Amino acid sequence: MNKELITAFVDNEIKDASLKDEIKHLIDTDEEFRYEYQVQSLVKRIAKEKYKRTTAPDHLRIRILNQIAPEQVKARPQKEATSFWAGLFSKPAFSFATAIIIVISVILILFNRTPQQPPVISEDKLTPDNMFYQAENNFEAIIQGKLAPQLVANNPEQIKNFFESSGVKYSTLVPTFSEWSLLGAVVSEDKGEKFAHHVYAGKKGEIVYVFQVDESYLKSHEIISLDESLLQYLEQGNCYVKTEKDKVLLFKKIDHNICAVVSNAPIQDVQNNFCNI
Amino acid sequence: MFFPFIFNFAIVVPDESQRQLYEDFEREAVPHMDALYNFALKMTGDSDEADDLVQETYLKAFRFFDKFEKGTNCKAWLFRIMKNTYINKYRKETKEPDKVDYEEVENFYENVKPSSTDSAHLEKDIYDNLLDDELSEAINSLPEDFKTVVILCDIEGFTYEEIADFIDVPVGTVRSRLHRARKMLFTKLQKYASERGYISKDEK
Repeated sequence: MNKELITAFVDNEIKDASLKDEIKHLIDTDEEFRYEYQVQSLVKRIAKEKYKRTTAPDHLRIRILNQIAPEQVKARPQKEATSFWAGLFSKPAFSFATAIIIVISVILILFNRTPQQPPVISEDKLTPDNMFYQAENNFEAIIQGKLAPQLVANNPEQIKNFFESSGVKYSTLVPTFSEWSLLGAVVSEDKGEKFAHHVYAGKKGEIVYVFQVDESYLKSHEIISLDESLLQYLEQGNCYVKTEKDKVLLFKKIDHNICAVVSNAPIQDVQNNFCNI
Repeated sequence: MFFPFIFNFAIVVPDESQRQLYEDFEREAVPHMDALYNFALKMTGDSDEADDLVQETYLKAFRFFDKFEKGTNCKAWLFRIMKNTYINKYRKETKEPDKVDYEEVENFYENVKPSSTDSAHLEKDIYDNLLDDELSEAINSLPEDFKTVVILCDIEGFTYEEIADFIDVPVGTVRSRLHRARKMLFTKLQKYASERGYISKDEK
């Protein structure tokens, strides 16, 4: 019998039951056939388990999803989303209690200017309205290809104009870096307010996601929040950096904006580029 | 705010059928991107070209996704699209793959006789200790035609028929190449195992 049939047997490619039985019998009784069977099975198993497959770079995944999504997603009417969220916008913009909290916060910030240790952010504070939580989740969604940029552009001015024309009310910062190129931008909406996000991609597949919010939103706590101690830490000009598994999370106040940066790039690059702005 | 952000990109689409198509594509086709990229790299030998090839493949696949027969092998369908895209656009610009000297392979393969190896050296544990890099290097050093069938069968899990369709050869040729490729690979792995002292050189 042709020994190549052993290969087909190992690959479950023998459909004929009697031939299958014949091969089984040969494997049990004939040393050479048994040897062939062992070699073929062993190599197949080892190859499957140990072969290092090169994974598709994140920038490619994002580019493809962006190319596919616009035909389906970009063209979608905004009405469904806005009408749902517009309902929530009918809440009073500022409560008296919130105003009091802001006043107290400002006083604390003004009088508490001693150097601080980076705050510890506890997991239970990371509610869906928390900027820290949102930045991490949005980054993961980008990496997994669930979020594609609304605008694909590598020109900072174009991105800033996009933010402005899309209704972002605060001034935005879109710096450029030698290691990473701008990939695109997103404007999200919550309770009628628009927020700016943009993404960079590096040549080695690094993704750098930046979410910037005018600090007044964080102080009002109406739509989006941030841990008070972290906000205070940033107000003092500090740069907050945290590493998690294969990503780095950085917060920095730049001008009036609180910027959350999440990236899979090396921590030194992220730190050097954003902490020194 | 995270939730409306998701709404903006993933959920709200123009009409139900388009939305369904997009979601089906995301579920069925997108998870195979690593496999396609890995093979595109092998085909083109260049990461930028592999990027372009995979991108073009996915755009075409999405365009024709309504023609994809549900329940059939989506990965094999994507690989077919990629092959056609490669042939049409890229192959002329890249170097021809190595031609296989079958006689040489035959000689190499014939050197591995059952008498020269006892089954004690077929223990999986011995080869489990080998590094992933060594295995990958061994596969990558196989002649092109042999490497292709090993990757398509053992790594990507395609059937002989799917492989035959992909590389345009009869099913018998796929079987024959796989048989020889695994023998060659086994010899290479034995060499690594011997170098690392997992099996003695005399016994090899």
